[in-house]
Amino acid sequence: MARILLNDVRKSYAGNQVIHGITMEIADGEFVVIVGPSGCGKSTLLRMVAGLEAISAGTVEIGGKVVNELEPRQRDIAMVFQNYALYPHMSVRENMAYGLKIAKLPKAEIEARVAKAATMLELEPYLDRKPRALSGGQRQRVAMGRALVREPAALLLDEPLSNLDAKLRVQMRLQIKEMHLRTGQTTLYVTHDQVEAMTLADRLIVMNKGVAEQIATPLEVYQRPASEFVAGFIGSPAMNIFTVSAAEGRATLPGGAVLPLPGLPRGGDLRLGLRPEHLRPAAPGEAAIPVVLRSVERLGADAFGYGMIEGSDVPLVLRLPGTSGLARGDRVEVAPDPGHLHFFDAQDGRRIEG
Amino acid sequence: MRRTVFPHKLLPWLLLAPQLAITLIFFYWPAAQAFRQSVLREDAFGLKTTFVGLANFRKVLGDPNYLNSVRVTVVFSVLVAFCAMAIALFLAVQAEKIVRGKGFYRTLMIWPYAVAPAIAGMLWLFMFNPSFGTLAWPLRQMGIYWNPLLDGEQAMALVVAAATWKQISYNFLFFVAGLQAIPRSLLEAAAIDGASRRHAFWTITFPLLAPTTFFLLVVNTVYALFDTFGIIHAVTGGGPGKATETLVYKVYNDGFVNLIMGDSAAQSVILMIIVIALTAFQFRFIERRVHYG
Repeated sequence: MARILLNDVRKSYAGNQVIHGITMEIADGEFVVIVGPSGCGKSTLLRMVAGLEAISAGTVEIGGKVVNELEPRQRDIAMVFQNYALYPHMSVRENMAYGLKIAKLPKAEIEARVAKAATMLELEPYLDRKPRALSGGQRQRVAMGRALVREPAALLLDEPLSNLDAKLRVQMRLQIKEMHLRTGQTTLYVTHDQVEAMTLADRLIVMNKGVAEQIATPLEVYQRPASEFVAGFIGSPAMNIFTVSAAEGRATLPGGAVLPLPGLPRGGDLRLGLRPEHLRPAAPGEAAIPVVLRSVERLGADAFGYGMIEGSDVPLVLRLPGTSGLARGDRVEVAPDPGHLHFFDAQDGRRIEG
Repeated sequence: MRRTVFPHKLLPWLLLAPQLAITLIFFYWPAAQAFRQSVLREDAFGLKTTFVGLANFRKVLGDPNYLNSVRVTVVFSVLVAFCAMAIALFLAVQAEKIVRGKGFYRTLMIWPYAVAPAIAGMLWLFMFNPSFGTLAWPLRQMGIYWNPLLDGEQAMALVVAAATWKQISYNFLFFVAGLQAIPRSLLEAAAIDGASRRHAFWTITFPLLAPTTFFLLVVNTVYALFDTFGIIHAVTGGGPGKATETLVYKVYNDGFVNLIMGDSAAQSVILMIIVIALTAFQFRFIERRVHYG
């Protein structure tokens, strides 16, 4: 168990900087998820903490010790890889015991720890099998077990669920969450899946192009996204974001409709963000956004209407009740929930507080 | 696996014909000839041939020179196979670590394979010739009385070195390919699990290379037993005394130099049996420990 401190961590390859200074403190026992689209540098950041990539600038501290110059084996960490990286020539038991044997733990202690992890992960029947005789989900659990038996200062997971099918992914997600609650292990988890990020994390780092766009709790990220990128990345379906021109408490929408908006921060061009779930049918006579639907997706409980703001080619997604009778070609007027308006700078995309 | 079905019966045989012809002419026919001759005895002038049953075999197996040759072969083969594989593995591991100019080093490493055995033998002969060898002089300066023309053990060392040198390239190539097939993440996982580089090599890399190593063991054994004839012929001619006369070399010596055809044929039959038995043994007992990924 330990605290991890990232202090202005940077990475460059041959003079080309790919991670532009990330500073963060991960508290003892905290579950932090690094989330972002592929190529945003999230895996690289994790690998720098693990010691598999050199740190170009800044420092990484684990348990009060700067580890920049330490080999992975000296950092007291364990890691779960995306492809699990199980040793194919060793049985499940040997895979889990590998690190403990190197640490020269007494035999009885090794057996006890492996047995405990096997019970927790329901792997007892497979202990003597080779990895190739296991299913994807079982392999994933072995990889988890191998990391957990070491009882490391920090647990690092690099997209551990992305090779599993959808159903298994949900199961494993719950299991990982439960395991974290039980062990209280400081955990750093990389994923591109926003659902994993939202459900697992105590705090999120949303990364884009090597920059931490926002570091906050999942709810904060959802309610007050720090930038247009974060707003568009977190939430499903994605937030509707379009340019409006604001003056005197009113915003002119694409297509020409004018909407009085409380809390407009300033005049001029702004980016307005409205989540699909925060748009409701407008009362008669109320100022509203006119939308022409192009298709309606019915998911049972909910339906999502995909359309354009009337008179423009700006797409807009609405959440509708599952029983909604609306169909392609219908025109609806919707009003935004005044408590859930997001404004972003038209130039740099940063959030503007209303 | 997908089965390809040809429209008629003739085409497959036609496609196989060249390989079959080569195998028949250069393997089965000579092998059959050897079997036939091993039970015959010819007189000194080649005028009369008599059937003698297994007499040739009894004579060969009772000959102390033959037993010496077996000993020489075991020493020679084990040394060549082991050294050629160990050095090649070491070099392959080192070459993998190089970041820049990898291709250049690899190409350099592969060159010796293109040198004909007799030429390679001559090269080593010249380098270590006791009177004018480039490398014989420094050896003498170091206080070693170097004379492979008289000292059997030195002669053995010389042919082992030449045969090994020739085979390293081949092994190197396979080991490099084998190393590249090992996923990087396994070694990263081992590093995080606390393994030092050396420990990770012996517990992860080496076991995962086993299919390559096993294949090379079979190939190198056969190489050391048969293909080294040219090198031995060029470097020592089996001498001094009979210190470097391997089984293959003795077959040649007895058959084509001393013209004792029956003995020589019996020896080659025995040799054939040894190689078949050895290969069968390797597949039966060593391959079991091989993990195919």
